[in-house]
Amino acid sequence: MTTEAHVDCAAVLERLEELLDGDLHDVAETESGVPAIRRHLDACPECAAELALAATLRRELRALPELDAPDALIDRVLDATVRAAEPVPVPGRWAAFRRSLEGLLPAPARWAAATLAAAALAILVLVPRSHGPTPDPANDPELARAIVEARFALAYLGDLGRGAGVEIRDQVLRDRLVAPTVRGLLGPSGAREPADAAPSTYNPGGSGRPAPLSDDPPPSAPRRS
Amino acid sequence: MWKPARTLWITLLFLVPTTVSAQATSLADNPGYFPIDELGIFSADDTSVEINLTGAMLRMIGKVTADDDPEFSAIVSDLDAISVRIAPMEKLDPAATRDAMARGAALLEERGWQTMVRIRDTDEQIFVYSREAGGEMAGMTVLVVDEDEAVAVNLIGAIDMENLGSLVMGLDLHQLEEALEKAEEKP
Repeated sequence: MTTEAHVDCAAVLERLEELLDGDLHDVAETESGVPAIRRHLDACPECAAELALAATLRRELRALPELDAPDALIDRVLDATVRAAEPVPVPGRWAAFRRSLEGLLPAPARWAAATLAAAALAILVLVPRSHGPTPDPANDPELARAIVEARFALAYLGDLGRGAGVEIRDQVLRDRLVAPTVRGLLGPSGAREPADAAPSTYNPGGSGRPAPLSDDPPPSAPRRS
Repeated sequence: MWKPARTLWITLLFLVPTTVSAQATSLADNPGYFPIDELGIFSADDTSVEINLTGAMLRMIGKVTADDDPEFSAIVSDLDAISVRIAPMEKLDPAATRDAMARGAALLEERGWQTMVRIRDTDEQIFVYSREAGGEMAGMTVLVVDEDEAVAVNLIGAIDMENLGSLVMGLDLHQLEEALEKAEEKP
């Protein structure tokens, strides 16, 4: 535990992981040593930048969907990077990881190792997940509700389509079959006439509807079955 | 001093959100998108049903329902978004609502949407429009006003009308309405 008198950059970097894990505000209020770290971060732009970078990266990565990489790929990446090093202590994993690389590999090899790690992460992002447990709506109220909402939306569209289809069908039948037949049989005067009178046309893109026949009630197709 | 590790992480930082954003472009940029909220009808107080489902959740729904309801799963998995707004007419001004819906229909036509259904009656208006992109259906917008309620629906994605038609035959709207109300009541 560092004293409040002096905290150097190495000590701060070692505590970055704890700071990010422990909710910065709470840690600042309850743990000794944190105020000194905070003062150092306020005074040291490099350490502050490291903290900001780590926090941003963590946030961005956590916002990604959970994906599974093939085990073989993970093994290959780890074998090429950190497995050869000594075990990394749990506290301060971030700084310890960096130190293990710096002490273990020369600069070009560290660069290659980091590139491999980046490539593995890019593959995790780009390759869609094909395995993994399926969420259970019984344990996920938000998912269960979303399923109901999706079904409702599609059911409503279907109900609307049925109603609109019925109405259009009735209108088309009336205009193209019933009305011409009636006119053909009875004519405007009510007397029987030849059935070659021109029917009205149905225009689905037009506004309004033709006036109904005098004895027919106004059509109103139900939207809910 | 050049720090390759830091450079790498910064590069990665840009790579990840760029990749994610490429996979999830803004809905507003999608040709099948229509801003039903901009109709000015569905305020938070007046709306009785508000549904907003986007691609990630829809694909999750498709995955979860794949075994039990493959037809529903297939339709939902192809959608990028579902937006629904329903407001009871008792809370709205009927004339203003009908005018707003008619303006919405005109706006859809201005933006190149194609008319599928257009019914205007004294008691109800039904407008159904579709949008194509690349030779496939990219979206559907439905605007309905009747004596009971005003409804706006926007679907974004590849909508298979044949499968949708056969699917909805088995869906009971009233049961789903009750289920939706129960789901909304839960904390």
